[in-house]
Amino acid sequence: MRFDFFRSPSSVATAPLAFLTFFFLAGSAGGPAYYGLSQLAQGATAVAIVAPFSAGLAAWEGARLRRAGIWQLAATRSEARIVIRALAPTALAALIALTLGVGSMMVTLPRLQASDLLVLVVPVAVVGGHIVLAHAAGRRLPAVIAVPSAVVISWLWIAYPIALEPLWLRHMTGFLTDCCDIATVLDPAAILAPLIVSAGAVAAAAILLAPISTLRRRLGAAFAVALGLAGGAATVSGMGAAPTTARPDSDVVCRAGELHVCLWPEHRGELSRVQQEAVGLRERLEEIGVATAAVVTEARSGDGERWVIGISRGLTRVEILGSLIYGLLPPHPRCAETGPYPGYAAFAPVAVWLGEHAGVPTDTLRSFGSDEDLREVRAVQRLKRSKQLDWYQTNLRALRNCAIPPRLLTRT
Amino acid sequence: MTWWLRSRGATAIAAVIALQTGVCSLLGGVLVPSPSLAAGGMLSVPLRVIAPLALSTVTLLAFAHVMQLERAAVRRLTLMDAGVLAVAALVSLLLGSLAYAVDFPDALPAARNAAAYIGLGASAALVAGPTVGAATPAAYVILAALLSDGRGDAAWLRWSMEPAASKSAAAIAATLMLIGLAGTARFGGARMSAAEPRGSAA
Repeated sequence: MRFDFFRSPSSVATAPLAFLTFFFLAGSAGGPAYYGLSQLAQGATAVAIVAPFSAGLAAWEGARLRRAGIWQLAATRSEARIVIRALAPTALAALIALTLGVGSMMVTLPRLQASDLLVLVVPVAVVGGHIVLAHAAGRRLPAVIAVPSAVVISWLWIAYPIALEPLWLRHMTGFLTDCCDIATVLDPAAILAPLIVSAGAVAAAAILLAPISTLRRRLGAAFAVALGLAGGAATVSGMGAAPTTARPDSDVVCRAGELHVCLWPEHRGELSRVQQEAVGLRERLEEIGVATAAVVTEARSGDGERWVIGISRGLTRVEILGSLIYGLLPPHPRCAETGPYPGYAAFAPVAVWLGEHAGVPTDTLRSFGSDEDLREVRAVQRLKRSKQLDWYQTNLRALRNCAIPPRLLTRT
Repeated sequence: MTWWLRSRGATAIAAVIALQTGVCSLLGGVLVPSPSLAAGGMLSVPLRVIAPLALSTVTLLAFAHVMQLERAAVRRLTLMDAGVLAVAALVSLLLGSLAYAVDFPDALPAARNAAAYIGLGASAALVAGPTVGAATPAAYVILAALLSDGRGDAAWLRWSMEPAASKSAAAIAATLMLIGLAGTARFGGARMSAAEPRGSAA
């Protein structure tokens, strides 16, 4: 029994599997193409295709060994060696498809950190778990049942939890959708949970193949799967829809000066432009009495008064100004998630008013708010400078607090 | 006759038909997200497309163990084998129609899909063996989800996702069922178990 990839059904399946994986990833959309972690995580979503097909192939291989009566013959090799040789072609086919999938996401040459590569452990472990458990099913069930069941159950397990609540259920499957925008990194819990579930699957497979009574086998396998699921659930419970957490502040690169500007390393090339626009904007806003923080940063967490912005590569001057202006507005308060937030009505008018003073062209201002918002700002601009500042400060307070109504001149 | 019925898994087939009708009546409209190449992300597939795979699998399971000795049978076992498939599909359609009449709109398309999967699986099993036969409807479901975009692209592939009123879906299902029945009536279950793919022995 030698290893011959090309004599295995897996060799026939490799090309279509790689083809499907490649086109699935080509059509999917994720974070910025220059953010390495986002690209890797997107490549890792290939598990949704690779795992079900590999599970079907592994069940097939298990059924072949069962049908051939290998286990009734005198053993010249250990069972582990026979299983590893039988599953090697399937594992190789899966690895080729995953490598091509992840590789296709790397053609944009994104910036990678060594820690980003940890995300690749997830698809490998998930596909490995599915392969081993499906092989055990192929050994214990008729092939007619085992092969389609392995494909469909693997497929449902990976894809269906996305439609379920609580939202954290989806993080147990290793299907890393929604990872990551540039200000986030993968939550370690979202890496650990699928590893625990896969360990449970491997343990269940080992128990299913152990020479013990059928009842003990079934109970033991069910217990191992349940233990893996419980461990995975305990790891990710409480998480939201995205498997992410805030990117560490320490990742930013800074440029000192009149205004201290800190951007994510992927945006290093924008430092001077952002600093130049921020300094100019600050001068214009100080003329009308609007104070700004001395640190402009893309980091969302951290202490001290900061001017938090979000940019991407290759923005125009006006787009950078827009980002800086939105950075001056407070984030929505937590109370807005659970109750009325009347202050939100002031969001666009305040952005337009700041944009007017920042020198944003009128055409671009229309993208900041509606015609109604522009009319409100025209009415405000007819007031004295001190009254305008009062209007701004009142609405800023309304934006920070759900209990304070906004002050809008053209609306009742 | 009793033993023959038992060898064809009549009890298991009846149980799965009842289960399928119940599950698809109540939950057939539940949407399962699935990776889709054409939609560029995820597409939702109704459960009534996936659940009927159980019936085609259980039906083909019986034929996986048919002995070659049956080829020498005096009775027309090939017709009787086709009869098993036909009865499984028709009972499923009958129960699905009843549930549809009682206002469970997903029961009938689920039964239509089951009939089509049985025909598709039997045809594939006659050519390549019962394992490939059982895997073919499952592969169809996943490929249909992968290649259609939920709107116009690859519409011919997504007939199983159409509602009960779709005439084209009914025509495709009937065609698949009839091809499977005709093949089984001609060659019988013994051919399915004999038609193992090359290299199936380790």
